[in-house]
Amino acid sequence: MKRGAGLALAALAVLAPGLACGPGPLGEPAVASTRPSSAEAAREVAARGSVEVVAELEEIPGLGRWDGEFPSNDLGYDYAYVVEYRVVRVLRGEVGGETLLVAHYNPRKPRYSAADSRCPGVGGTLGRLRLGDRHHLALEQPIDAHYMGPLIDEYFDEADHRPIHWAVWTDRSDE
Amino acid sequence: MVILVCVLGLLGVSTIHAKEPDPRAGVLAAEVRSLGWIVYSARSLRGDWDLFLMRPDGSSIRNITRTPEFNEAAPRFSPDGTRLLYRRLAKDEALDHDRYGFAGEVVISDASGANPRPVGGPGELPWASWSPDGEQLACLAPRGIEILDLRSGRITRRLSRHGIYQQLSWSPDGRWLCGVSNCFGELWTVVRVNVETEEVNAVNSYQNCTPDWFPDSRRLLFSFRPPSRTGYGWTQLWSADGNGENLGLLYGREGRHIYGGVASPDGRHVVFTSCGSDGGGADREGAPMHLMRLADAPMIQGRSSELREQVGAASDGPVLALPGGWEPHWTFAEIPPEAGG
Repeated sequence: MKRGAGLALAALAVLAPGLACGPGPLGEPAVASTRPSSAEAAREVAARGSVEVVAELEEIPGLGRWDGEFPSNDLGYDYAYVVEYRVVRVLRGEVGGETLLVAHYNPRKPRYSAADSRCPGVGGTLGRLRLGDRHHLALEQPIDAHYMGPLIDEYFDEADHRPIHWAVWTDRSDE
Repeated sequence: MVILVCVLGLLGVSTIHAKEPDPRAGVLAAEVRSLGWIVYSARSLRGDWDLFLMRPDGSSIRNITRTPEFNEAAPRFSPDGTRLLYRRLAKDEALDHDRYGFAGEVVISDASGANPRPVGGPGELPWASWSPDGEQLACLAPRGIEILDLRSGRITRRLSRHGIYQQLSWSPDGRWLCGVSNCFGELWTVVRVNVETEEVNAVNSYQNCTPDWFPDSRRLLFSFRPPSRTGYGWTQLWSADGNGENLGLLYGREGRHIYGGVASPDGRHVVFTSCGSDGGGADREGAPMHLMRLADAPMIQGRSSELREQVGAASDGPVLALPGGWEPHWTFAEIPPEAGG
């Protein structure tokens, strides 16, 4: 539910790899929102999370509920949104199939400005999630161990109950 | 009224909003006056959030924390009414309606506010909720719902969180937990979890929050903002059985968002906040609190044309206007007066 704008954004001096996304102290200043350099991005995506993949964004379900756009973050309304990727290449860890469900935090925001007091450990160089684009992702799972907040999951009913991965770092991939 | 506000201001008490001119409210006030105490958060005249006690008719208000260096919020009486659990934040830490359960540190004090003792550190024990015997706390963690034994300080059990992410509450009979969850594919779903089997069921989906138990542990009350033809819609107070059946409106008023609903210990009355903007007023001074009889539900006030069309027949009152505050809680236990008072 939308709320009055009472949140203050968190600031972190260091974004610890694999930092769980949950309650952080309120009232801390905002994180930096400049896009990381290529060198920094390469280091982060290789070090964070337990899974590293290149994958193509195949489906963003349910956007019709919100007029074709991810829901806004007005009034301090934070959430994560589950999308589906087709796996192109696994660089680290294991994935269970050819497709992946991935939750992105506050997907309207560029990855490099998505981190806040609720989720200080997310980042990346990606500006916008667009169907058909390929992304270089560092992931964690299960999502419940890494994120505690509102989640929009249109795949909830599916029979095979694929696990949802938590996107820790997301870059655009030219692969 | 001006003289009264000035006197109360000198005493460092919360502000009072003008009572509604409904003669039935006087009858309601007399009915609840001696029924224990309500505790709530409100801004002191210094601007920080303190905890206040009042009689259910809004009388005998007293500030029980008086801590200009801290904000105190979200108080909950222990089931026997002898202690309080609340969150204590740094003075410059903002209150947030959805995330207050993560903020500051948990403090347990006497019900009068005396002898405050922190439990854990800042940000710890999120959404701590009393066990029925007052000896344990249920808390949310990413790994699951953790049961903390207060004497030993140890986690004695961990249950599946089932996507619950805020506003965890343990039922009076100890058999259930409820909270706001992502479960069942819809965010902002109130769910109920069986403490023994860890099975979960939805109570109500889509745009719900601040669930709490009726004293019989069989029904819950919660805020719910149904879809609206006219746009954003208005948050109302609803109830349902723990299995999600018998969903029904308790109180609604278009033009107001209703939050923080809590039942009296005998289940006959309910207190809630009524705020003109969404958010419950945590970012300002709280919101006017109101009290109604559950026997008068469903109740719709104001024009509320869409709500009347949806719900049908409803009473129009009475509602007792109470001081402005946030996240109230109610006990029938008697609380000793202040030392020297």
